[in-house]
Amino acid sequence: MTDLSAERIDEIVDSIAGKRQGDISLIELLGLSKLMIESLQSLIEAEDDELGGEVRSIARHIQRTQSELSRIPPRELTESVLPEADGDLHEVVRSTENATQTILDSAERIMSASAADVDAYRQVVDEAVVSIFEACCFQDLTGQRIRRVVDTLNYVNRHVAYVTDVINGADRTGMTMPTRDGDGLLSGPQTGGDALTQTDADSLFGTPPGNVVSFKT
Amino acid sequence: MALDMSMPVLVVDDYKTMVRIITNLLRQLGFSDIDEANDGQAALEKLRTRKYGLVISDWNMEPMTGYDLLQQVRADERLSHTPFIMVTAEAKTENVIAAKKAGANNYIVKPFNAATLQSKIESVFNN
Repeated sequence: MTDLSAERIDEIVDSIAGKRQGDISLIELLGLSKLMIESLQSLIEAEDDELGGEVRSIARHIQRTQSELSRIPPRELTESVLPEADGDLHEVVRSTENATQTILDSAERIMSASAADVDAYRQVVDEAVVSIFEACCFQDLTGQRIRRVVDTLNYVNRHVAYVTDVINGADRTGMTMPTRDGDGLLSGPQTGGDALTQTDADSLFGTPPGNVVSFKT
Repeated sequence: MALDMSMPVLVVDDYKTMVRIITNLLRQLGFSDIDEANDGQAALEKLRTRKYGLVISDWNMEPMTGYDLLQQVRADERLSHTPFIMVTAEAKTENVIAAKKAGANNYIVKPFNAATLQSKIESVFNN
């Protein structure tokens, strides 16, 4: 094909645009077309490289995100974590109410007891006082349950933050997927069927180990 | 083996309310010399300075749990024979078994009543 000079290209363009009259050969037109295609090709290739790079980067991000999200235990929050916390809070309400009733009952027994018989009155008071002490055990257990619910909320918060970071592609260098805090044998107050009764504990414990030395002051 | 109501008793729990409850119940039962500690480490320090006839301890405490305290007591020649009752909300089979293996003399599940506390203490000294 004919190599076109810049001047000749201008003449051909002006002729096509109707600004000038002149003969343009088919070969010259084809040459101009080839020149245009070659110019655009390098531009398209450059765009392709950049676009392709972007698409590949997005594909890698999606793949990493899928991989990270697939490691998160499915339905852990809805099937165990949150129902356990719900159970704990219900138990807090229940045991607080029961303790309050017991304390009120004891107070009312003392109030209604007759002091005419001192020994009988003292017995009523002693029994009521012991009942109040026993009822106050609720504070320890509700405290442990509430602490556990707070730990659960912190765990959910860490989980949400982790998932958000995964989706946003944040730098997670050094970060690991949150796990629930556990401490071996420590699990705190149990509820319902999970809880051992004192009778169960007695059966498991059986006879205490020997070698207990009596101590007398 | 006789239960001596004048023997010093050490109550260990990080909940001050629970320490008060157990102390008051022990007084109702007739015990008069009762000390307290708020975690296993503090209890261990007291045990090494005074001879106690009985330790009643919670499990879940920091920095030293009642379970770790029990192990330390049983590992110390001077303390190893001290009667030790675990009083705790940890109520799973593995807890009870672990406590027994570590040398606890009895195990009380919270919440408990005065009658249970009394019977478990008597059981330790009558066996």
